[in-house]
Order: sequence, then structure tokens, then C-alpha cells
Amino acid sequence: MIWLSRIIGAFLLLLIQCSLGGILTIGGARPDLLLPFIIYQGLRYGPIAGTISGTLCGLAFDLLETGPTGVRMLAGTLVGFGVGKLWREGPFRLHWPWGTMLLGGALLQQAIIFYFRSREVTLPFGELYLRYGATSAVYTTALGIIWFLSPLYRPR
Amino acid sequence: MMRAHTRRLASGAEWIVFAIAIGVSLIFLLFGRGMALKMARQEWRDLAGFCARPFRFVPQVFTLWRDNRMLREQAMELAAENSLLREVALENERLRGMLDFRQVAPWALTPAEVIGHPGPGIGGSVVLNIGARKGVVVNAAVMTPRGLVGKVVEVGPYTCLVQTIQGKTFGVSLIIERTRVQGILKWLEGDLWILDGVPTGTDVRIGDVAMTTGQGGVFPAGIRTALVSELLEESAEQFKDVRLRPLADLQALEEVFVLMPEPEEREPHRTGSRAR
Repeated sequence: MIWLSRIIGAFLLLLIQCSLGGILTIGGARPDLLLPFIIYQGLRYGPIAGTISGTLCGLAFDLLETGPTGVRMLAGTLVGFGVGKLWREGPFRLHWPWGTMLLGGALLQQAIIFYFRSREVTLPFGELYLRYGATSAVYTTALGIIWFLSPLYRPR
Repeated sequence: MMRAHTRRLASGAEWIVFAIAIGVSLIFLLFGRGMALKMARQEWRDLAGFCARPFRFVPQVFTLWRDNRMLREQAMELAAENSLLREVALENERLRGMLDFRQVAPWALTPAEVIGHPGPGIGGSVVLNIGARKGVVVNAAVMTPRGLVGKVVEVGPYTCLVQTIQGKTFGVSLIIERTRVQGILKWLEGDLWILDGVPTGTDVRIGDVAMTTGQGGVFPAGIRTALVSELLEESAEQFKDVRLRPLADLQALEEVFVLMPEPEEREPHRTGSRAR
């Protein structure tokens, strides 16, 4: 039952991302609404939930995009697992774990996406990443913070 | 001991799941270009597109709002442009009328623009943008193609002051064009002018045109001035109460003509003079 609610939640976020992506885009920066969900799963339920959420959400997003399949899947998997693992077993404790995880996860995800995209379009990765990837990561973080500050977020 | 064993098992499971997920991702990355995947993509897109329909009203609202704002701005710009074009068309019509009038008029006329209304109200006196440098002299008649406006009472080098027929001190001898009945045009108040000194029993009708007689030496004969608008005839009175309406629109003067004197009448550069 809990997995069903997660799937429905992720699917709704995906639909909102597809429908409102154009409106939410500022300059070249477009937020990824699924990433806060993946990070939430990793933080709340651990590395396995984070990994599965990241993989499936990434695959669902990949299938809608025109780029190579598996890029967002790989990024989602790494972010979901990394967040869950670091938070549970990391030798450190952060004051705002979700904020740091969100920004770190978004930067990592965009780095993976733009690494593969730069190979496709033969443009320098650094320029693409700084212009679009990093800005999108900051934008995603800013939107994700709204979720983590909301009363719906329940820390583990 | 038991808890440590369970933790090790859980950790192992996490790594296994992670490894499988990474493996699947890499398989998609390396081999995900087949026909089956293309078809799966298409099916998935169709499903997502169908389910996303309820969310589409949001961007549509934004699009409508943006289009509406753009159309309002365009409407404002077009309204301003339209107003300007109407103004230009009216000015063009007026100037054409003045040009035609100037060509057929028997007098030497100089066009001028009204640049001010210095009196207490619109219509009593006006300032024109020509003066002695253009040959304007005191007492020169001022008119529009429709009718008499007044006379120049003060001349500067580049401007002149005109007393219109809408003034208590203004009087001009007029003749009814149709029957040659004469009288003196006088302004009473507001839009009320009378033709003073018209005996009862003379033939004056509503709609008759009154024009200058040429007597007095200020205005030449034949300038159409006013229209008989009302007749109040009392049998016991000696004179008719003939009321007139000026042909020139004194409330909306923009372009006028100044009747230039004959060369021998002109006194060169007599500036700052006043009407006697």
C-alpha cells in the first residue's frame, strides 16, 4: 500500500513536471520536481527506497525525453542510494541535512545528465553545466526546500 | 550479536539493490536504442500525455493571460494611432478647405494658426502665430473659409492679437445676402448675436446669410459672417429682433486667414501698435 501511494505521488509529480515545465523554466534553468521526491525517499526510508525510487523515477523521466535512455535513471539511482546511505551511516550529522542533500544531489544529477548531453552535442561540458546544469540544480533546490519546510515532511 | 548480524545483512541487501539498479541503468544506457524501447517510449508518452490533460489548463491560463495582456497593449497602441490618424485626416480636410478658399477668395489672404486664447473664455480673443514681419496690420480682417472671425487689434513682430466678433465692443455692418437688408451685428451673450437696426416689415427669414457691407473701411464687402437663426417680431416695435449665429466656429478655431491690406495701405514693421 505504501509503495502504491509512492508510485501515485511520483507519477503525479511527473505529470506536473511535463505539464508545467515550460512555465517553470527561467532562462535555461528548469527544475526537476522528482528529485526532491527521490531525496525524501532516501532520507525517510533508507538507501533501498532511495535507490528504487531514483531508478524508477529516472526511467519514467528518461522514457519521456528524447535523450539516451538510462541517464536520469543512473543519476537517480546514485542520488537516491547516496542520500540514504550517507544519512544513515555517514560519519557526520548536518544541521539541515535535506537542504545539503538536496543541493548536492541536484548538482550530481545535473552533472551526470550534462556529461552525457555534452557528448551528444559535442559542446564543452563545463560551459553547459555552469550555464544550465548548476542553475537548474539551484532552482530544484529552491523548490525542494518548500516541500521540506512544509508540514507534510516528516523527518525520520 | 544478533543485531550486528541483521545490520550486516541489511547493508548487504542495500548494496545488492544498488548494484542491480546501476546495472540496469548501464544496460539501458549502452543498449537502449532498440525498436522495443522506442515503442515502449511511445506508449509511455501517450499514457503520460493522456493523464496530464487535467494539468494543461494551468499553462493555458498563463498563455491566455499573456495573450490578453499583449492584445490589450496592441489595442491601446492602435487606439492611439487611430486617434492620431483621425486628427491628421481632420487637419487635412481643414487645410484642403482653406486652400480651396484661398484660391477662390477675391482677397489677399495669409494663413495663420491660433496659438492662444488670452481672454477669460474661449472665443473672445485669440493670438495668431504671424505678426508684422508677415505684413499683418491693425484692423486686418480675420476669417475662416466658413466666415468672419474678427479683426486684428494688436500686432507684434511675430504674433498678433485678434478681437473676435464675440465681444461687447465689436460691431460690424452686415447685409442680408438675399434681400440686401442692412443692420449692425452685435454680441449680447453666450451664443446670442443680434442684427441691430432692422426695421419691422423687412424681408428677413430664418436661414438667411448675412455678410459684411464694406462700410466703415475695416472689413471688405462680401465676407459671409452669420446665419439668421431666430426671428422675434413684435408688431408694436420699430425694429425686428433678428438673432444670428456666426458661421465660423469661434469655440474651435485652429487655422484662420488674415486678410492682407493692399500694398499702399501697409505700414512696414509697425509693431506694438494698438487698434484705435
